[in-house]
Amino acid sequence: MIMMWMQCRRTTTVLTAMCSQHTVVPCLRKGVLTCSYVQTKNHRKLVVSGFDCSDNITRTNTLLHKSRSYVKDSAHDLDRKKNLEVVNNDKEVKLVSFVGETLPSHFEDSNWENEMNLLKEFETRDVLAPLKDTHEIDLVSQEVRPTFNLAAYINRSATLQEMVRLGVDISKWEKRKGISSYILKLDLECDMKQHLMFLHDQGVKPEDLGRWLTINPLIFREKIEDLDARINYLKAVKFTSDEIARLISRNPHWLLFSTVRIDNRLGFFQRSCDLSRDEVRVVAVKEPRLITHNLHHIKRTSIAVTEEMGFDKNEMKSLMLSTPKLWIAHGPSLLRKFDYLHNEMGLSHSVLVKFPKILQSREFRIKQRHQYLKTLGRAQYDPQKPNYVSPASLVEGNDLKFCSDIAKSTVHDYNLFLKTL
Amino acid sequence: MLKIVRYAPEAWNMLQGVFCVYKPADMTMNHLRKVLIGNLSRDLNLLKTRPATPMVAIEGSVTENLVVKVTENYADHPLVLGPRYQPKDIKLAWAHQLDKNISGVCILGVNSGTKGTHKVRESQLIRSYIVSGQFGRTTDTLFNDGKVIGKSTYKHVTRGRLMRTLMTIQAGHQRSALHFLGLDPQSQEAYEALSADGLVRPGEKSPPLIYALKIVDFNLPDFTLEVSCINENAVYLQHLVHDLALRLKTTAVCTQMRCIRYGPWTLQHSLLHKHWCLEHILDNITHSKPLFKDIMPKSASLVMLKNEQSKEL
Repeated sequence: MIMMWMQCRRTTTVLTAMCSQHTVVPCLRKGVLTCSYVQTKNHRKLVVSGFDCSDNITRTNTLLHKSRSYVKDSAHDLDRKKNLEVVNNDKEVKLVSFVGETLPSHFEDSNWENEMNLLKEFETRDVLAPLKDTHEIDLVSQEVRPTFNLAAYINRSATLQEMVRLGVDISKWEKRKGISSYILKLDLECDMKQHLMFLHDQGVKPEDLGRWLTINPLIFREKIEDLDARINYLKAVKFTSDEIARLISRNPHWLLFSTVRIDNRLGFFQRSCDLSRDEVRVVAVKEPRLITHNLHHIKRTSIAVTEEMGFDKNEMKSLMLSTPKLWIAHGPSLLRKFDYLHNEMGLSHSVLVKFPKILQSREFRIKQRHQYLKTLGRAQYDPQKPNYVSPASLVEGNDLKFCSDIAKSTVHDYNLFLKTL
Repeated sequence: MLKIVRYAPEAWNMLQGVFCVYKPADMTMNHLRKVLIGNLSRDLNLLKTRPATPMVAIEGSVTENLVVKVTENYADHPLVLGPRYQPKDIKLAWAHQLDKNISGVCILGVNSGTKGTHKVRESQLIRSYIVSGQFGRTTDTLFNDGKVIGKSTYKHVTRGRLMRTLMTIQAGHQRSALHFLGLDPQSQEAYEALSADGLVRPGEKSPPLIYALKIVDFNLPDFTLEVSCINENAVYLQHLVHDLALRLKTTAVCTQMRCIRYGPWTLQHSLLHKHWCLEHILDNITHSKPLFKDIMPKSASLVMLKNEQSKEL
């Protein structure tokens, strides 16, 4: 652990740094210095590197151990190849592109030597003496420190501000591991603009873009060529552009899946439910999240539908075509609902296939309404007999409509009944 | 007097106090708590919330003109910080933890009302339950959903026999109430407690104590009782049904337990599941305030109920 003095190349701010870890030295221009501790043959070197926006090392300075002298410019710029012995990968480098503030007019590429002299002067000068040049105060800038919240950086970062203007919920990004540090490395012009244009071209509405990016910020990791290939595959499988727009908007994770994977998934659904190619497309467009959903969960639900609930193959196929959302639902509650509907209420499999919306709704609503109808003597779901009540009415409409039309009583009466359950 | 509140911090300031909810039958208290907190924070965020405070920035150089600007502060934006009201901000506590199988009146306290729930619990209010049972079988959990482990005949049970058994149980409890008073049975205070008007409540924590047992409904094999007691829980009520049947030389299982009264709070005060939102809860807090004031604070071990409560019994 060596204490050393680090100096920002631009602002000549002097800061202390611990050399065992990376330090981020702030800078008003684009350029962040990090330091890493490199073990070489003769003596330990402290390598200080500057990065520009394309993440290449532009400048390397070395500092010899135990010297309290300042970082000396080694006077050679590295080319694009990273042939540096950097010990640790700079994962936590936070590159923050600053919004154009009004900088003082004399702020230009200054001479290294001048700045060095300035620093030497700072060290030896009496603090209480008045300043010779008042512009030295401008050189003091605010440190950018590590933080738990992106709100600390957002007032200085154009990228993050643009995201908020689009409507992205940045607080949701912070909750996921690794997203914040990934996003902070990105720059709007270099990395993000192409992807945003791509999404717009494919049909994602601008109002929707905020919600889209909140769910899937990792889209910027994908290469544009890959994304184009995936869209071309969808077009080859005969999805129309409107359908593709719906697929991508409703399921932001779709574009993260490679062509091969999507193909496999579509094939899986085709085989497991005996669907034709057109029908697979219908299912995919109806519920795009189904295709990228956890495969184990889907298989488990399929088994539940056929084995535990007792639907046959044709019935499962028609359920899949009408409500593919069932396969994303929570399995045990689906089974409980089915148990109540089939055993307590006496609805047969064919009736449930005819009214698939019942299986999608909340359990308590079905139970409450059914029991109310039972106490009134109106729980008759057989169309052959008089006073038939459609099972769909159990889940449709609010309580007012249900009570007045189906139960033929008042909401007040219904509420009193609910308090006896 | 109806007050329309559109500003979220104002609604938040009103969201302090004790309120009453109708707990549905298959819901655990923890789940209920999460649902309520989620609903409250969702509703608060839908109101007009605190706007972002602007940022004061000083730019320029000391030698040239320094410009003081009031700029938009993205750091205070809800999309950056998160919603203004989050579930972790709301405190919600209950007076008594009702079991998953019990439905009915449930007292909860929100934010500073959590102290109120302590007071409610300590004042040992009488609770009334409607307990339904079914003769003829017994299960391992003593409730409807357990595995059946015994069956018996029940044709010999009559209403009169049931009534007599209930009376016996009630009398036994009233006798033991004296022990739980925490008073010397020979003392003057104990004499006054027994002879005075109204009911006697035990001093400290006591086992469940039944004040009244009534038959509400009797169709063999089903029967329904109304039980008024304190310090009870679900297991005790299930055991009550079970023991009752054993005394009648048959077996029974409990099919439903419903709390219909908690001290001054009754079914008409409680909020149904569909009404668990900010507006109704604020309303309920206001309605519960006078009821809450009437709870007798616990003083000495000798506490007597007010006449109204005993009349309702």
